Amino acid sequence: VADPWFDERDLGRWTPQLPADEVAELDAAVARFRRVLADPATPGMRIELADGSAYGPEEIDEIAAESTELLARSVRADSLDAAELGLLISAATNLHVIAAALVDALSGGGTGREDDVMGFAAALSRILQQAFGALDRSVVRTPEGTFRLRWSARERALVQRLTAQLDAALDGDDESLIRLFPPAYGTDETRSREYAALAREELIESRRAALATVESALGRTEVEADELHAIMRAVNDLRLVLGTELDVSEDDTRRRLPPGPDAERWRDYELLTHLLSQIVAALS
Amino acid sequence: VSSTAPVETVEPDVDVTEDLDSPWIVLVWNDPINLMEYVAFVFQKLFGYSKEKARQLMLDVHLKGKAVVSNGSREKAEVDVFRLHEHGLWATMQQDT
Repeated sequence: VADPWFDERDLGRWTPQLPADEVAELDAAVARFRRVLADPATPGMRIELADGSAYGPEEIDEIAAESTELLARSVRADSLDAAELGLLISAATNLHVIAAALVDALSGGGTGREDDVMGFAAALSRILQQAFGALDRSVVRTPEGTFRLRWSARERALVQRLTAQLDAALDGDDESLIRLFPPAYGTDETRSREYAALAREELIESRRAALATVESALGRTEVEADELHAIMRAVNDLRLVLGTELDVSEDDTRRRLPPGPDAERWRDYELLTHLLSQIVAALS
Repeated sequence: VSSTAPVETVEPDVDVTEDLDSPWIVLVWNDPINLMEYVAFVFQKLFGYSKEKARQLMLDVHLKGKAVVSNGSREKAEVDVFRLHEHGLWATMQQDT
C-alpha cells in the first residue's frame, strides 16, 4: 500500500514531505496563535495538570515558544526517526493543551481570536494524526502470525546498548534495579527475604533469557510471537531501569517540557515508551 | 469473589502457625513508570482475564493505588507474584483477613 507519509527504505521514520502551501498555512496558523497568546487583551492563563503541577503565563509562553519552534523545524525536516517523532508529538500535545486553555480563557470575548486558536488546534490535529500514523508501524503482525520488527538503526542501537548494560548489572544490587525485584511479601521483610533467597536467581535467569532473545532479534526483521513476548518484557525492564534512574514520577511533565541536562536520556525513555506501546499494540 | 476457600492438605513448607483457611491475595501496586496498556495486557496474558476486566483492574491500580489481581493458596500466590515480577509489575502477596 502506498503511503506518502512513510518512507519504506528507512523503516521507523517519518518523511513529512508536506507541500509548501501546507507548511505556509501551518506557519500562518502558528503566527496567529502566538499573536493571540501575546495579545495584552488575552486573559492570563494558568494550566493545571492532573498530577497537581501548574503552569503560569510565563511558563506557558516559554513552552509555546519552544514547542512552536520544534513544530516548524519538524515539518520541514527531510525525515524524522521515532525519537524525533516523539518530541514532535509532545510539542504538538503541549500546544494543544495550551490552545484548549486559551479557547476557555477567551470564551465570550468574540473578535475572531477564538477562531484563530481553533484553526491552529485543527492544524495540530492533522500533524498529530500523521505523526502517530508513522509511529504506528514499528511492529507489524504478518498473516503467518509472526511479527515484523521495523526498528530504526537508532532504536536498535539504543536497545542493544541498554540490553548489554542491564545484562551486566543484573547480578548486582544497583539501586536502579529495584523495580525488577519487588519485595514479594510487601512490608513483611522476613518473608520477603526468604522469598527472594529462593526466587531472585530464577528471576534473574528469566530476565537474562529475555535479554538474550532481544540480542538475537536485533539482527533479524521477523520474530515469533513467543519471542516478541520476551522482547516486550525485556524492553519493559530497560524502561523500568531508565525510568528509575531518571526518577520518573506519576504523569511526569518534565519529559514534555523543554529539554534539560538529562534531555538525551529522556529521549531514550520516550523511545522505549514508543517501542513498548507498539509491541503491546501488536500483541493485543 | 467467592469466599469459599479451597480445602488444602498441609504441605511441609507451609508455616504451621498460619491460618490455612485464609486464602492469599495478590496485589499489584501503582507505580509511575509502567504503561497503562502494558499493565492491562499483562493481566490478560497472565490470568486470562477479558479485555474489560483487565482494563478495569489496571484502572483500579492506576486510580486507587492498588488492586487484587488473583487469590488462592500461598503456593499459587507465590507463582503469580513471580510471574508479575517477571513482567516488571510491583506485586505483593498477603493473607486475606
